[in-house]
Amino acid sequence: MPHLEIDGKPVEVPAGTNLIEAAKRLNIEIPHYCYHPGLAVVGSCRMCQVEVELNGRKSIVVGCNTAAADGMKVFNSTEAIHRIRSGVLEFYLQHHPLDCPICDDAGECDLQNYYLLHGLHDSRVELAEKRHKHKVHDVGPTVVLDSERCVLCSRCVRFCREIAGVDELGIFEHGGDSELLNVPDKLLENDYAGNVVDLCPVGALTDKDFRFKRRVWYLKRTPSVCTGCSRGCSIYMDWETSRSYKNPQRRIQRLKPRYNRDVNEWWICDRGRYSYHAVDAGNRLTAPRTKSEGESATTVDAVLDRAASKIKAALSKHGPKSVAVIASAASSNEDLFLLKRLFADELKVHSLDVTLSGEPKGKEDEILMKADLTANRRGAVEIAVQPWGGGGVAGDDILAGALDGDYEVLIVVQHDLTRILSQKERNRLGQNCEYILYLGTHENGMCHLADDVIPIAMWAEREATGTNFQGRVQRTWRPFEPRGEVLCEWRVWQELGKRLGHALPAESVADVFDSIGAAIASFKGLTWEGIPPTGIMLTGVSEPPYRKVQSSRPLPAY
Amino acid sequence: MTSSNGTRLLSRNFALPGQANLDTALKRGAYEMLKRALKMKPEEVTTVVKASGLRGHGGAGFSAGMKWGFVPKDVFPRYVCVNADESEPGTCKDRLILEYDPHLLIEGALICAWAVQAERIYLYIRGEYFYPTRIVQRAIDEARAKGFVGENILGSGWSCHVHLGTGAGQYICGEETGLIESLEGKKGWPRLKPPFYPAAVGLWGKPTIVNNVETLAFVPRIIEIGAEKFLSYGTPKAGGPTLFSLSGSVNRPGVYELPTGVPLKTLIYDCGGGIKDGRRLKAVIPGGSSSHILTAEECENLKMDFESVTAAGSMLGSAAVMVIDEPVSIPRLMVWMTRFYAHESCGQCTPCREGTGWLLRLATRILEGRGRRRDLDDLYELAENIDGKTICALGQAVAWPTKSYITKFRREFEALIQE
Amino acid sequence: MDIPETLVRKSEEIFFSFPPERRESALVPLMFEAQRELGCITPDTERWIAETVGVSLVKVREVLTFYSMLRRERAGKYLIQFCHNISCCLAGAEDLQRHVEKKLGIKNGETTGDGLFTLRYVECLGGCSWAPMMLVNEMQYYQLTPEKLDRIIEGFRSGRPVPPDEPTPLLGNVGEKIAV
Repeated sequence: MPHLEIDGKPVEVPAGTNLIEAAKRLNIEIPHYCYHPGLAVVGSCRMCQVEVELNGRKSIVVGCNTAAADGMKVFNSTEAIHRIRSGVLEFYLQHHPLDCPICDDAGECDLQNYYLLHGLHDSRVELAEKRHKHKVHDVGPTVVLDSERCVLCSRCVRFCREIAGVDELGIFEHGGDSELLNVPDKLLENDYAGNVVDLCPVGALTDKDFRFKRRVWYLKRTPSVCTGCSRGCSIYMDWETSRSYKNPQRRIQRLKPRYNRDVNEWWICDRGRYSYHAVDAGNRLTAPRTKSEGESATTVDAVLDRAASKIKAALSKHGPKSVAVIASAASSNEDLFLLKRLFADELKVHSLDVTLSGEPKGKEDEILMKADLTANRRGAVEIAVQPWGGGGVAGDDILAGALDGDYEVLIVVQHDLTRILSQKERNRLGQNCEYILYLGTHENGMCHLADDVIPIAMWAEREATGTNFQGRVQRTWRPFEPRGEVLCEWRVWQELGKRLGHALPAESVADVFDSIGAAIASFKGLTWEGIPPTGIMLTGVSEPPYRKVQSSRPLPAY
Repeated sequence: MTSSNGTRLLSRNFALPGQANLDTALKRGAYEMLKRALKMKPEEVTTVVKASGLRGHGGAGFSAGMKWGFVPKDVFPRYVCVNADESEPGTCKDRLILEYDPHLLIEGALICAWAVQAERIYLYIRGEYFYPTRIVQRAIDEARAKGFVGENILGSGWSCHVHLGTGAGQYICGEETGLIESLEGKKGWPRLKPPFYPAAVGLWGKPTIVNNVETLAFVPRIIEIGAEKFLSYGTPKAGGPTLFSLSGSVNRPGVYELPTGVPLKTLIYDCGGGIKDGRRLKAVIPGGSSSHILTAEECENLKMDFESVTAAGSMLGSAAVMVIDEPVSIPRLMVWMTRFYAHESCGQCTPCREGTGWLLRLATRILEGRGRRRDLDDLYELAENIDGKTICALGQAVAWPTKSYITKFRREFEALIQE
Repeated sequence: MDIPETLVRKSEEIFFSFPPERRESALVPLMFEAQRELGCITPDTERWIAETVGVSLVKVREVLTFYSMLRRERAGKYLIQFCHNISCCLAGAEDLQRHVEKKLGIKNGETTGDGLFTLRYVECLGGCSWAPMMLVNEMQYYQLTPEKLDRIIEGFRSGRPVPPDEPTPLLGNVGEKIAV
């Protein structure tokens, strides 16, 4: 491993590391625009120029294209380098519009940041000589282009070609007329288009969804996991609740990808990126619903009491085979574990499954998107909330049985049965099933069909763990409390259990997770405190082979 | 006065009629040296070319034989690209080779391809050379028909196909990696070097020798007279003659094949007949517009070889000698020059993309009398900010002349600045 | 769109000159040829080229807008490309520019009302020793003077063009016959 010095500080890095990455290990920033660790090196922005000395030879190189070598000395902060950087910055700013007051990127803009750190020069350009290019150009359904602001780093072009595998953006013309644009017949509309906004170091590519909504310095950032599909990409939720006059209904303002080498690298798909809208959608359930009469019938306690009494009655009259649960693979490990403990282990209910064949499936590709739109199917498998050799009843059979009146009590979590049942079938279900309890997040047809509805929390507003399709256990962090009377699903099972005479002791979600570690073989040895931000593989499941989304070439030697 | 003695190596048949026609050329010995080279081992050919001191005549002046030797041993296939994108302002000698002795060039390219075991040669001619392109295309077809090009050349067992590539009006496609990018069907954006030195990683990622037309046209003569003799027609570090493109304020502009290292005064006065209308020499641009300008004093004892011109503070480059007499305004020259680079900048990297246009604007403002006092210093400083900070040499190509015009002729600029 | 047979044949020659797995390399020469046949590259032509070569529309447009000889609009019957670089200016090209602008009544980039001539000032055409130089379509003309310029323009106007300077005159010692 080469040993080198950067600004006099020693560091050791793996062979083949470029100087920008080497400097990162020392918390030294070598400014750059075009370089991105996930994309091919082009060395065109000329910001990362540093002075390098090796074996008596001294010269100025671009850090992105130079491999760290043993004994190398890198000078990042000399007067000469400062002048070079300032000179390059001045070229960038020559025609850059003074849009900061109206530009979304302000506060996280690399042109602003580098100017303050490395520039601070006065302009010597006449306003009359300023170039004009496309402003507020509709480059695609989700992105706005302002090619005047563009610094032509080509990250977006490389992203589309290397990662998304499409050619939707190009740099046209030559010399000073160069401009980033799409062609008239083709828009930027691939499934990963939103990533170009993350990549753009300035405000040239901005997200229509976020446009003019918030100044970024008001945002708080919480790490979490996307629940759009079974990949469970690592994300950040950027949210704000501090100013009551700014649309208090919406708490999360945007999602950003969080680097996770083995799950999603630096990217997320658009389907996941814009999924946060569901968290504070207008049809979010915040209070229990019931068909029962009475003022106090809709408190959470009242609903839980009623549900417990119905279950008790069914069990004593007809036994465990009269109770069925269609659970959800969108629930967390903790939700599923307590569900299984209560119904399968304690109450001996065998009609318990997470799968229904009418469930919607999404698009799947070779990049990130998975067809399975639930976040925790693997968790469901591991925790064995599925029919297994031993006589459990599959989800489709449960539903058929419920239609035929086999069950007194049907508990449904998240599945909107009214989507797969005809009107006649819904009527049959309502008639033949004595009591239907629905746990859900959003208002849907089940709210009319079910006898009682309990609102449950989404992953974005609680701490939870899930297991992605690779067998990786990942956790969320909680940015804010759920609204209204929303409960975590695992608490519902705990409360029901209490009322049914089966205590499932747990103070917090961490307690539940640690219990999973004690009970389920593949979770053995895992603890809540021990889950790193990028997740941890189930015991006995090996890391998937590292698949870099694109190929990179080895760096040349200095 | 004329140097029509032995140093007319390359151009010796130009004035003979019909040399572009294969049958005529064959009668004067065309492709005989290819036959001789095919009997040598490929490495031997490279050794001979290295020993001959042949340097690149496209501008960079790199040792041709050394470049051929950089091809990595086990990587195939290999390619040869003939750089006929002649676009350096002042340069007009490759055009004559294409029009008057294309078979010499094809033969030289084939010998190079044999030396590096290439399977394809691409002759990349700039788009504006319509007539030379027709001549060369006909020559390639004739050579193919007679078995000098294609499968199993002259029964050697080695196959090499020759095709044309075309430019479409961008100077940057004369940069070796810009040329390769253009041949690959893209914009001519030069590649980072390292690692994309063409001899190691070139056309389609394979080892590629990119050499100028004149450079390759000398190769058959090297095989003919031997490395030592060839070396003697130049200097110890730069063997063979050079084709000088003489233009500007001289009585007899033209292309002159002279020994490398010939005194500049010989070229301007003996060959070129001196300054037009009896005027005085003011300055010379010795190696194409990308080279530093030299004052008349600096030209006094200057010898035209790579080392001497570099020592004098400029470069031999493509040996395009532009002669400037007293009445010519250097600020005006600055506008002509910066206008070229502003148009030809490919736009890939920032200092050149933003800087060339800025230099042109400042130069124009000064020329038109709207210059401010600080504009001259800004012009110099901006040129410094471009120089050496770019992916390819176009950065220094605009910066060096800009700085040298200001340094050596500052008073002319200051005279135009009113305030 | 209707592609002339000649262009189809030429495109096949171009594809043949590259290895079969490197079809994209045909992009620049094919655009050049298409422009020769069709006069300019329209969006329809871009689509045909993209399909034929097998590259995206973005790549086609990048190449079209990068190379300055490729144009998206038709030029006049005679495209005059007039060099305004150093050697030609040293030989008096700027005076000739004024002369030709007056004679044709147009400026750089414009086309005469009758659609006959388009004037473009271009960079070095490689005729420096024979300056000033211009190209008219594919024909090279050297050593221009106001009179020669007038003759050439009249020649095109009258339908009896002045023949181009092909080949380039041998000026310099390269034109001297060597006594053997």
